[in-house]
Amino acid sequence: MATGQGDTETEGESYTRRWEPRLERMKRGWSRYTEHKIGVVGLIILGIYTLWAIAPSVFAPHSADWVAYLGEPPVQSRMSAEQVRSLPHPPAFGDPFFAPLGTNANGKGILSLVIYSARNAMYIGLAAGLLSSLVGVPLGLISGFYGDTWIDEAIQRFVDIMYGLPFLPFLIVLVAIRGITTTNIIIGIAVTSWLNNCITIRGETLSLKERSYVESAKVAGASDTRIIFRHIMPNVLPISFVFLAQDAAGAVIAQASLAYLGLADFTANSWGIMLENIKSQGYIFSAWWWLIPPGVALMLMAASFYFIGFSMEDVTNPQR
Amino acid sequence: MDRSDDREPLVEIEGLRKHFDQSQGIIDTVLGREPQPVRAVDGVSLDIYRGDTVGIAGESGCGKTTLGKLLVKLYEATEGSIRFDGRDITELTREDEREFRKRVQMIFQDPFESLNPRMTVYDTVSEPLKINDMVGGYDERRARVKQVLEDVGLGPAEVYLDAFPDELSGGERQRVAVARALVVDPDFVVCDEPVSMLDVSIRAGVLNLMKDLQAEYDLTYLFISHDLSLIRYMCDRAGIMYLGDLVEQGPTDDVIDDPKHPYTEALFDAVPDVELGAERRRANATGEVPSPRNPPSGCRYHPRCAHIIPPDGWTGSQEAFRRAYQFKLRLRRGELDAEAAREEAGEPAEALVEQGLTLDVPEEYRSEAEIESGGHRVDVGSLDLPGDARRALTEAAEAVLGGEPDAAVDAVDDVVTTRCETEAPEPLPSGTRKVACHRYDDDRLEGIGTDDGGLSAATAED
Repeated sequence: MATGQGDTETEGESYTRRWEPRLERMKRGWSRYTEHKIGVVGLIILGIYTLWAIAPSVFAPHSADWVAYLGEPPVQSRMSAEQVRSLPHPPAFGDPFFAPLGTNANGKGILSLVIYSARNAMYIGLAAGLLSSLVGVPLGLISGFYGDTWIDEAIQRFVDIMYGLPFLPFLIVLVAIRGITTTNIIIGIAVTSWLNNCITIRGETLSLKERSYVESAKVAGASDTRIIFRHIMPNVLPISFVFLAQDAAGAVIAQASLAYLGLADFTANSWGIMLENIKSQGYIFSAWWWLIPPGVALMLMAASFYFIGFSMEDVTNPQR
Repeated sequence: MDRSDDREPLVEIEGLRKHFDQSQGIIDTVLGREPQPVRAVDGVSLDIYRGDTVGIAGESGCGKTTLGKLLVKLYEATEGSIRFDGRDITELTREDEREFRKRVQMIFQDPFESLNPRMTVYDTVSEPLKINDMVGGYDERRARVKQVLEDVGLGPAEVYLDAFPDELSGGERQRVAVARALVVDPDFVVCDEPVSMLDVSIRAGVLNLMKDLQAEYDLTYLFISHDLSLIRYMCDRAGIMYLGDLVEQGPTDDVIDDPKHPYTEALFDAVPDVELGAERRRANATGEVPSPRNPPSGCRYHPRCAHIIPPDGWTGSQEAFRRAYQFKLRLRRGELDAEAAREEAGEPAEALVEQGLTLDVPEEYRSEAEIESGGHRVDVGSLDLPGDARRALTEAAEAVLGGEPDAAVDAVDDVVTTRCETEAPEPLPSGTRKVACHRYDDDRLEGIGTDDGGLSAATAED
């Protein structure tokens, strides 16, 4: 370990030793994460959804295009009037077809639809959550670090203006101009949800930058960038995780409400669109097997994001 | 103490000023109010010699910490210059600043705040090395960090390298902070109350460590503390700060054993004595510390000073003048309570004078009449107050009772004057040290003791 030996050691050995404490720290972090069962539950739910999103065909009994009585496409025949009248069909296990959560009014299997929709929900949740964090956290850090200068002033006035933007009319205009696609919905959600992120991170940064460890880094000659990203950011990450979870859950729910209002891409599979369909076709009070699964799936996804955010707060916050 | 004059100063501070909060709100601008900055540091001049330990003492809020932060360039000076090793640090190029950052370090007061809770000890201590590209590879850096950690008494270093601050005790944290300061092998370290947040039981350990390291690393320290016993223990030279300015500076023992400036005297009186049975002395100073937004004119200490200088031709005693000056201050601040004087028995003007001549000081410095009345009256007859002064005071009191406060101020303005109020004293050498007090002006000019006015303590120099 003496200074002279440094040169004789191979690069590889040096790297292993350098990474050893970090691996150790990650292990410690994991054990702290698992201290809360609720975080593990969130991780399991999200894990299942991830698997559904990656390989829906493995988990779903049929493809998303399967139709009751007729089977997988391509279908040549048509349903008889009696068969059409039996839709939406309650859960059936092999007689006359296999649909454990029943079908909707078009004869599609609910379970398959729920599983195939996971991809869309994951995509929207993570994309909107990450996007709003990626915009909100750096802007909040910069705004707070340069607090009381024109930089801070400019960012904060911009945030104020954005706060004045009403979410729904903004989104209606956005999709009217750019078309109803999932990407536009994500943009719309991200544009309105980074503001809380930015303001909270700014407030935290304002207090953190007065700490004397920031001053001692300055005395050591650290640049602003280094202070912001090395000294302040790790201390605001716990909050930003909470916001990431919140924004992700919010985005999934917002997409569902937009779908419910008819402002979402109808060709996509989505829990929100399933709910929109049951409303527009008037089966809310008669087809519970159609109503409940997408609602529960949506709720569990939002909950899992919250649970994970809650546990991450503990992992990234070693003070206690 | 007995430093030879051919030694080069490492740090030269000249006329240093730092004023905070000069920006104004929009309402102030509309109303045309003058900006009133906080004069945290206001005209400090000080030389620090290589290898010395200089202590800065003073009450909280006197600007000690701001001075320290100015020296390490955490703040930009409003005015004045700081030369480090002959170069003005306010005009450093990027390259020079890097060099400066390697040579000057600071140790902060609170080790619970000064270490980043998300960084391990190794990350914290090695950061200055990384920033300044000082030690080549990872292994060399690690070796250097280990060596410094062992130097500050955190051995074996392996145990501490990967620890987070929250796993360490207060003393260990402060040792890590010391290690971070010393890892770049600096020349000059500013220590801002380095042990005040530590348990008393471990203070001595950290202080002794810092003394040992001074020899080992060839350091020059600036010690900032409100703890005079610490200054005495650690420092070769001491400076006493009051309202942003150094009132007295010199060899520590001289300053502590024979304080010359009235403020230094008061500060030392205020220290509680540990000895059993020793009578507790308190500071003979009137009133509170004035706001640094609006410091008094002339000598900043004069409104509180026990040795305020009477004008030439004052025939009464110095104590009488001090009281008369308090009367004038109360008059100016509008603190004289005319209602209370009217309710008193006898002449209201007389009662107002008696009220105005009281001193707001601890009991041992009060006159008998004051103690009896609970600090609200004095016995004018027993004071050695010249006749014209007494007449002026009575006249002023009548004007106050008549509702003309401006006329009242005019009445005493000519009689009760002092150069402490009008002229700011320069920190001039007096014996082994520099004192900023008018009482020593004559000392320096003529080499004789000070004149009349009950200043016997001040003449002890020769």
